[in-house]
Amino acid sequence: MAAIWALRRSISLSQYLSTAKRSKKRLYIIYAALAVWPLAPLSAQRGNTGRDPHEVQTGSEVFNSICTICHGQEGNQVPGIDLAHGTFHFAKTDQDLIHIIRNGIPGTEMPANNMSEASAAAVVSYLHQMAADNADNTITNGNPDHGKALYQSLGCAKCHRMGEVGSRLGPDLTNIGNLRRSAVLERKLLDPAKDILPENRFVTVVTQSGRTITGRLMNQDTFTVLLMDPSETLLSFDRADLKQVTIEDKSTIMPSYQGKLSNQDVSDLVTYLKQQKGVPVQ
Amino acid sequence: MTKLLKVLLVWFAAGVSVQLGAQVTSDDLLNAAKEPQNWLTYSGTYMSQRYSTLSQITPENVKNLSLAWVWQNRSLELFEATPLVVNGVMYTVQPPNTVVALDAKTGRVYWTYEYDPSPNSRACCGWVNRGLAILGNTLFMGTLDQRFLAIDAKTGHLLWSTQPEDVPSFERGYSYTVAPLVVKDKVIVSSAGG
Repeated sequence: MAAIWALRRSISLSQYLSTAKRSKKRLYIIYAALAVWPLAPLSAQRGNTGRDPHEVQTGSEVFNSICTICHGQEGNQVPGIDLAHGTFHFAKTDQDLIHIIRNGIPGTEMPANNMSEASAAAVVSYLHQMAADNADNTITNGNPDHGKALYQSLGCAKCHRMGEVGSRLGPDLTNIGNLRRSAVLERKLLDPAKDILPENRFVTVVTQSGRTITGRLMNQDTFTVLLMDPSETLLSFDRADLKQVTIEDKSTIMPSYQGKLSNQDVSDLVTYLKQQKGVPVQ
Repeated sequence: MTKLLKVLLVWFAAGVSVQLGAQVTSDDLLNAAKEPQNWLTYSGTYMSQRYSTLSQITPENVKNLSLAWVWQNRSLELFEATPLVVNGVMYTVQPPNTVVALDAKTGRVYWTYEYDPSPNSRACCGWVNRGLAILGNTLFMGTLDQRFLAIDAKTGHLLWSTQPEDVPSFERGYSYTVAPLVVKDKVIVSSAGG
């Protein structure tokens, strides 16, 4: 039941009102939701730079595939250089940054990058997004022990895996502390359907015989769709045998914790997640 | 409500439990001959006959075999691994130490786990690997630079990596190229070269 309720919580209010038979209990829940309603828009504004979100997304993809090799996910891996707080040694304007990204900085390790002006501009937008996220970041000194307790009581392991515990259906969190900035983890808890990475998407297939299967997308090409079903079985489908293939890039079974967890709880959970740094290598 | 949510809601509501049970048990390995559709250990069974009892291909029809699929190996080293097959999923090693899970029917890739052994590895006879062992949902592989890895068979994620003590260094020419052997709850592996 807990799982069903967790899923239901991510249904929008209007859908909930229109589909639910209004039992007293449900009305109480709606009243309770309305009571906290004014709180929600405040945190929805987090990290808003006024920049085109698609451009920011493109920039994050370029940044994560090229820039992180030296600068790291948080943009601060090169000693003395922090790309994620909006001020730069060699650049005053966005145009300066675009020039540096494309042409490098002579006499330093920063190489020229063979990329279009549009891609470089997207990276600049992403840098501003990182700065805005960091300025807004409320994740400071959370309590990781309480974060761990929350991880367990919220049932995160129903979909996520850490080490050898939990389901493989959602993103593996074993190394999440090395992979994601805390601002991004915070955003994922509050708005999980936003910017789902291709490797974390679900797919729904409908076979010619009418069977519907949803699972984690493992791979796909012109002829085939490969997925992991909820029982963690690896399945491979010939597209010719499918009536419909839907890549779920805008929705997720991950519930939003917007308004459901306090800022302190979110801090605690993110602090715990940031401690997850991969498998022990002896 | 999105369709995704509906489908999973139905799935949860139906009380389908997440199957976390072991995929290959030590009993399965002991009785591997009873599962000719699978290839659970390097030599097929503990008898090490490497003989399949499947009867579809016979001396009479073998001449009619034709290409079913091709998977392009992205390595120029020699291919010496014997693949494992577990319930339709084929696990093999692209030399030197990249593990690949394929759909055995189509050759399409579920996942790839890349391990780059130290460039100082000095295997005597090529950067090769003979294959994997499986127990539960865990694949085991020895590497050219004398590491021993456990990899999640469903996702290709590294579970752990260890450098066994008291083995001679790979820099002196020792390496793991052998496919490990699972016996009960132990994994046996041995160094080559030197």
